[in-house]
Amino acid sequence: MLEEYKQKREKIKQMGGPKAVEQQHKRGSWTARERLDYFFDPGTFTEIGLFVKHRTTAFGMDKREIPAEGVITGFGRVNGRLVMVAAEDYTTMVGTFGEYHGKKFSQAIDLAKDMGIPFVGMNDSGGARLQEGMDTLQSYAWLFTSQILASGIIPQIALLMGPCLGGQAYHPVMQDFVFQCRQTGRMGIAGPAFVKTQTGEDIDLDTLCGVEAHAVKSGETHVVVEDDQDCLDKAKELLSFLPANNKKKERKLTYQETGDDPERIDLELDTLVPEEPYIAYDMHDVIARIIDNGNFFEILKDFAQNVIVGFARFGGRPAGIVASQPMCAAGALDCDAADKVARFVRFCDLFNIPLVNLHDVPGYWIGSAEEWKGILRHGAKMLYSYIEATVPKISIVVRKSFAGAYTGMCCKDTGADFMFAWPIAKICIVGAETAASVIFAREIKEAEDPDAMKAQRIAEYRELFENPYRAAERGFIDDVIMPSETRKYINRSLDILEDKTVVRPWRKYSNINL
Amino acid sequence: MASIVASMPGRVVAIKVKVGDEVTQGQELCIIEAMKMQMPVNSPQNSKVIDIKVEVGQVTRKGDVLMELD
Repeated sequence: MLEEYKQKREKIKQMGGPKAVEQQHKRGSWTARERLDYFFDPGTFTEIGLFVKHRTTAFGMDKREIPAEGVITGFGRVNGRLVMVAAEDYTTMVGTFGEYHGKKFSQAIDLAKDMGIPFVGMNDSGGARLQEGMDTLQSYAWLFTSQILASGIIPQIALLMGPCLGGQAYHPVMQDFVFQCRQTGRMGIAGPAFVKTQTGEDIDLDTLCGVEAHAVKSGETHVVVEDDQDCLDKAKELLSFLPANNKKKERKLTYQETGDDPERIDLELDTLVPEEPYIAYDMHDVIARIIDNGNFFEILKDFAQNVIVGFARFGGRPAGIVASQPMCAAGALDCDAADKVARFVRFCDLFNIPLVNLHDVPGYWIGSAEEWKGILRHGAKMLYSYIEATVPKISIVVRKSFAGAYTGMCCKDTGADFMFAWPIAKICIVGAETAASVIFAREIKEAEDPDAMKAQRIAEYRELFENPYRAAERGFIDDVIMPSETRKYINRSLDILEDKTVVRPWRKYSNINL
Repeated sequence: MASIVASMPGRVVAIKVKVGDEVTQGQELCIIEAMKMQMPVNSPQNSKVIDIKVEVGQVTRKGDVLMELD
C-alpha cells in the first residue's frame, strides 16, 4: 500500500515526463515545480489537490493522463510569510486550462482570500482546453469571480513566465501586478493566427504580445523581468513591501534593520533641481535621496514615463511614491499617466500603504489629442483616488504645481494630510504668462508698448503669486522647507499619521470615471 | 538611418545642429517647448545629420519627424 502511495505521487510529480521537461528547459524556462522550489523557503511548500483529475471523455480524453491537471496549487512561506500559489505546468498537455485546472486555480484564490494571505499566479499555458467545451469557459468564469472577489482583500500578483493567450489573459491583467519574462512571457486576447483569420492583420507573437507590447504600449505589464529566476526574485521583493491582507499594515523595519537615519539631511538636494522651471531633470535622483537606502521598486517604469510610481521605505515604513517626471513630456499629466497614478494610489489605499507625492507638474496635457482621448475623465480618476484614499498622504512641491494638476497630484484640499514646498516652488493657478495675458489682455493691447506692458504685468503676477510663500500664507502648504530636509519632514509626518483613521458615511461605492 | 521624432506636441525653440554635422550619442539636437518646459531632444547614437525637417518656431505634433540621422 505504501509502495502504491509512493508510486502514485512520484508519477504525478514527474509532470509531463522527461522529454517535455527537457523541452521546457530548452525554452530557457524552469518547470512549475522548479519554480516553486526556488520561490518558497526550503521545505515549506504544502501542495493541495495533487490527485485532482479532469472528467472529460470526449476525443479520447478519458485515456489522457494530465498530472495535477496541469496546475500545481498550494501554500508555503516566502521569507517566513505565507503565500498561496497556482503554478501552471506547460509540460503537461501544454498547461491547458480545463474545468478542473480552473477549479484548482480559483479554489487557491478563495483560500488565500479567506485566510488573508497574498496570492501569486505563475502563468504558463497553451490556453483553453477546447476538448472540454463550455466546461472550460465556465471555469474561466469561476477564476474571474474568485479573483475579483479577492481584489482589495489580498494582494494578487501575476507572473507571466510563458504564454497566456485568449480569454485566460483576463486573469493576469485583473491581478494587482503583472510581471512579464522578457523572452518567454506572452499575454494577449488572441494570438497571431486568430488575429490573421479574423482581421487579416499579419503580426508575429512577440510584437503582438511581448514585453514591448505590454510594458511600453498597453501599460498592462508592471514589471519586466529577464527570466524565471529574476521574475521570482522580483516578486519576492515586491511582496516585502506589502501586508498579507487589507486588515494589516506592513511592518515598519527598525533603524537597526534599515541602517538609514530617518532624519538624514542630504545637502546635495539643495542644488539638485534647476531653479529655472523650464529645465528638465530626472526626478529619480530626488527619489533616491529621500527614501531608505535609495531602494526604489518602480512600477510601470516604461509606460507613461511622465509620472513615476513605485514602492520604497521611509524610516522603515513602506510607502507608495507618486512623482512627476519633468524629463518626460514636461511631467504634465496625460490620460495614460492619470490611469497609472490612479490605480497605484487605489492599491496603496486598499493595503494601508501611505502615499508620498512629489509635484513638479505644469498641468494636465491640453490640446486635441488628449482632449479627444478623454483627459477629463481619465484625469478625474486621480482626483477620485486621492480624495477617497484614507491612508496618510504627504505632498511635496519640488518645483512647480499648477492648475488642475495641483489638485490632481494631491494638494491639502484634495486629501494631503501635510504639504510642504521647496523654496524654488511655484504654486499657482496658472503660470504668470498665461495669467497676465488673460487678466490684462485689453490693457496690453492698447498700451503704447504692448511688449513692455506685457512683461511688466507678467513680472507683477510672478512676484505676487509664483512662489511658495503666498500659498503658505493661506495654509495651502504647511511649510516651506529646505530640500535637504525633505526626508526628515516626510518621516515626522508619517510618524504622527501612523494611527490616522477616517470615518465616512456608508455608500456602495463611488461612481469613479472608469 | 534613424528618424528623430517629437516625443510630445510643442514648438521648436532651438535647433543645435545643421545638416552634415557629426553628432555623438546624447548630444542635444534641438529643443521643443510645451507646457512651460523645454525638452531637449538628444541623439540616440553617434551619427551624422542628413536632414532637418523643422525650423525654429514651427509647431510639431507628437510623433512628427524632426530630423533624419544617418
